Amino acid sequence: MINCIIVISASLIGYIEIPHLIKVKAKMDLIVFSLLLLFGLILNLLYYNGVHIPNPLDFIKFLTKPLSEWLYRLL
Amino acid sequence: MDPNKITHHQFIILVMLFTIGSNILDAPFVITNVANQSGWLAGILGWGVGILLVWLYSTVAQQFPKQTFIEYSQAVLGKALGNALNLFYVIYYFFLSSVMVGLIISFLNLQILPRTPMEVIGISFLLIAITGVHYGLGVIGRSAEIFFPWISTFLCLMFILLLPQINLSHLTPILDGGVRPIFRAAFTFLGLPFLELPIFLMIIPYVDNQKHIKKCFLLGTLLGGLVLVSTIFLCILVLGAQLTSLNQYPSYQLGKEISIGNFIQRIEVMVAIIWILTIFYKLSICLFVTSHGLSKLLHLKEQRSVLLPLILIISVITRIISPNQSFYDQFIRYYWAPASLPIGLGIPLLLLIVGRLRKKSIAL
Repeated sequence: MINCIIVISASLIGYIEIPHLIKVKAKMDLIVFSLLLLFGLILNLLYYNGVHIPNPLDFIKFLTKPLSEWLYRLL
Repeated sequence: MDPNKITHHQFIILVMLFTIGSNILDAPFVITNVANQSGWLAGILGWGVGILLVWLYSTVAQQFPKQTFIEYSQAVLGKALGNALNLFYVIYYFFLSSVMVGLIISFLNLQILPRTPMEVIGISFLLIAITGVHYGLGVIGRSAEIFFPWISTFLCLMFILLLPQINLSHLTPILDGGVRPIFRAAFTFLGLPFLELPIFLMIIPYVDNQKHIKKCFLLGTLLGGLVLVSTIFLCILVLGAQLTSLNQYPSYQLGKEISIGNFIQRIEVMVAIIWILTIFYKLSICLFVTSHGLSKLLHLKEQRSVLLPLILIISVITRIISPNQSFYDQFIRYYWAPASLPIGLGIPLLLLIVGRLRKKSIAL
């Protein structure tokens, strides 16, 4: 059910935008649009089917941890 | 006519709404958690430093009038380094817009619409914001001008109606924990609105009156900061530091406290309209900068080609990045300000210094 909704909404977005992009002959736009749409579609399908997706904020946390600890000790 | 043109009045309003944004909800409890009843001192300190930061950003922007951040960072720092920084800038604001959606979802879901699925709230909010971005910055600016009297009226009303509830003894003892907690809280407060403000480096070139840009930027931040600091102050005065730091949405709790002669009561949803609107404008500005920056970065013909896929991506990223409330709280308390330092301090300083040094070799 949820997969159906995701695929339908993704194809609806494609149906709205792709004819316009072909009409104005924007090749780069079409490539970026398709990549983003595909990325969004896969991410949604994975998330709603219970696959664990690593949290990007954990990565940011890992990167800023030394700076954060140093600053809060300093202050 | 360029759909992205805005007037300088609209610019002031947008800066103010962005500064108030989501921070009116989360700044009070984050600050009082660290600095207790002296949190208002930390607020004033952070506000002062924030004004200095805005002065830095507007100086950077005045060096290169008529160009957006994405364009002049390439010109100043060279193609490779400039593009790397631009990508970082776009990704930062992409995450900020996801955080905004997450915040409005958790607020509405906890307080107002408990049985509505989170996705429905998030996607309907995103769809409205995306529609605004699709029609251009001019539409966002003009609609902000329409809603601004509403927001300011409700804010003034909230402040005035709360005056009878004030208990001055909540403020004592002042500075009982020394000055260190104040500096810590001020640093956290700096990250909550002020280090995010380089977002306007993308918007300044579209303002019509370039001469007064510095004044407008400073005025907007001054007013927005005033609202934030007085909200923190009122939270401490009415609820006390203990209750403020324990409450998830202390400024919403403020609305519940309003009671005039046991007759005017429970008008907190009217108060909630303030931040539903301010978060909406913050989200719209973030989405505009994300999509506009991405289309400038990749040399796309049209900005709208990235907008609709962004709905699909943001609606799920929002769920991934805030798996639970405590993770989010810890993140904004300890990591958001340090993570914002490169965007808020590093890149503008770099652009200012390198731009000054290379001024003659770059023909702008």
